[in-house]
Amino acid sequence: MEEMRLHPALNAARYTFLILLAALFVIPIVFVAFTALKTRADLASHPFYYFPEKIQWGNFLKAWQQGKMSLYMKNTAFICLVKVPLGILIEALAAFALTRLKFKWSNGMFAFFLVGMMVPMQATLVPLNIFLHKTNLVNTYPGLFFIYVGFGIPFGILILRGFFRTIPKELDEAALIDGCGDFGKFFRIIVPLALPAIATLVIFDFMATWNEFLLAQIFITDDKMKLITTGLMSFRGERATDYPLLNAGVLISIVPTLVVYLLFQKYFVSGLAGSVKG
Amino acid sequence: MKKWMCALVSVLLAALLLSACGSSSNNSNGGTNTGKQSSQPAAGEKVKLSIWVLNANWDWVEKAVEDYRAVDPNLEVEVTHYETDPIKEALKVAASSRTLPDMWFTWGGSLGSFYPENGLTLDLTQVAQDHKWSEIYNKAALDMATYDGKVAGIPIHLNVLGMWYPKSVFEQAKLAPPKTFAEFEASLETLKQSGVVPLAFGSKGGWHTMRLTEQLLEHFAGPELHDKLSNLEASWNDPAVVKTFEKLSEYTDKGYFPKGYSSLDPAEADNLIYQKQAGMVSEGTWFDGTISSEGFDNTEFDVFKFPTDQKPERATVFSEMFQLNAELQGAKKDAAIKFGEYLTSAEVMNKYPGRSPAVLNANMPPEMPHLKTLLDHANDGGFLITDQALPQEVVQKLFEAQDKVAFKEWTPQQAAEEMEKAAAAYKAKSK
Repeated sequence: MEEMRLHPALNAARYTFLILLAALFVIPIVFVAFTALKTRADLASHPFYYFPEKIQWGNFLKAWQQGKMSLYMKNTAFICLVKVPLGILIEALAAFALTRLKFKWSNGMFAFFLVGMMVPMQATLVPLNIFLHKTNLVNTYPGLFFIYVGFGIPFGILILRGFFRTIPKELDEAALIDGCGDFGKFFRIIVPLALPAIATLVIFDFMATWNEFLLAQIFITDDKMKLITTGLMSFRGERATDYPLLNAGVLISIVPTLVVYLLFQKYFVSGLAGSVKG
Repeated sequence: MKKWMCALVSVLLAALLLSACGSSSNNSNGGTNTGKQSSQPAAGEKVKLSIWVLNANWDWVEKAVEDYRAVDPNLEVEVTHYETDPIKEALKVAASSRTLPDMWFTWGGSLGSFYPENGLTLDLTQVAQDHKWSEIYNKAALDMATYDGKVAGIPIHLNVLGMWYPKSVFEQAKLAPPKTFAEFEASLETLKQSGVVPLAFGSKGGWHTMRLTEQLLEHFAGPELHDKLSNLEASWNDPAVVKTFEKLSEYTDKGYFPKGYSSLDPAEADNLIYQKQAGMVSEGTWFDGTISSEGFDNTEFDVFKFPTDQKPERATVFSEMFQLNAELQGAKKDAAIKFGEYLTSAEVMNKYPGRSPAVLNANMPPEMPHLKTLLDHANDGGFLITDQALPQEVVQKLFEAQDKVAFKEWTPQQAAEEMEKAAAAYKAKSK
């Protein structure tokens, strides 16, 4: 497809607009980086947007060690590596059933799943706390998996159902003729074709799980089991916050989400587009 | 194929469930041992206590637990640390689901009153009498751990607030700490003329500026009416309240606050003090430590008592305490009380200093050069800090009133009326 040629003035305007838009997103990260590279006295003595007086690369090491970040990142990575594939498998199976298996009330059931998106997490804290205490699951990762998977299901089904519906039914029929059962259809036909949607979901789900704070702070209280979001809070005191170390910690903590995004980004737009079109 | 897959998935899910239940049994949280399930050991048996405390600067608790083994080798303490806001949230969730730990840290006032009001804390009145707590703890701290005449906590910290100022700024402006309210107002003008921000308050969140509002209210209303207002026993639509808001409006108009102070973060407002670009700020007994941790020398600063021109001239105070679970019984209850008394004792305070003790006879740590001065400020008496004295709904209205008066959206009279409406609504609701 030939690119539309724009008048040079319009092109300049377009680039200026895009640069300004990019700056809007980049500037906060630059200030986070500035803060991460300052001493506390430097931060207190100059406005936050000033370049550091003397760059403190050591803050990253300090944040890593003082904030026990290797432990907390390992814990969070473990949670994500179990939760994200498990959640997506369940969501994909449900979306497959909703789009491919003919049963009564499949639309009603889809609506029922969507109701889950409307329940605010805060409203569920007390019942979940009672449930986890009764099942002895407080301060355990399996307890957290159940809740995370549960909260992830509605969004996952929404995305995957939309995408699965764009896959022609004729493929199912062909698979049936070739002797595929439902699981064969799911694993050999639907999943490979839905990879863009799954990749999109991996990005969203990984980010949501990595950044989750509320449930982790209530249900994981053992210091050795804390996740990265709750671990970063250790830089906040009762009346003072170590902003340079906190910001250094934040910058370190976003690396894994960035890596996951870069790995799966080529599928990102097509995955989203497919799911919305459906 | 289909059946085989179904069976596999079922087995996997069952295994996950079983592993979940199994792994949790030896990993139970601090907040699980309350209620009917908790076993109450007989004397001499091993006792296990769970305690929730804050995180930053609270690592001394583990050390004190270690020390305590010499006193009671049978006691095993499970310490869980939370940050400031998370502990409030976790306690509320635990209280609602009846999974509170055996002991927990809390602030006094309306933050701590929730638990005794709902029958969740041990009544320590008799213990306080038997163990002569009135001779051990500061009276103000003990009073603030008492609700409806019942002692509901073991006080650990007593915090007193005062007006902190950089000495060099006062020297440059040729000022001495003001002794009267008129002198205080004159010093604001002098500071303004000398090119610094007179009052380093940041209204983001409301509580920082509130510390000035409550002093103005103490000045205009006097101790008696101020206490009645805090207890919602007098109408907030009072000339003293109107005058308080008028002063806030006047100080805003005269440029005594930092630019854009309504949305300024308190930490940024404090920065102006460290940088010696501002004249004064209301901070408390912790501020020596805060100044040092921000990389500045706390001996370059000093503190004076806000001159309210009232008798007694009271300071803003608030306390922190340990509350004990109402469901503790027998040997476990005794062990928890004894351990709580130990954690708050002068011995522990002296060994792990850097805090403002509620216990009498604790040493004054050299790294907190202003601690004694501030504690002495409370000798004339103190009034509870407003965001702990008032119900939270009314506190939020006060924060709103401060902002709207600054923005000229409300007149001081309107602000007083709105405060009264909020107070009346709260009283009607809690009837």
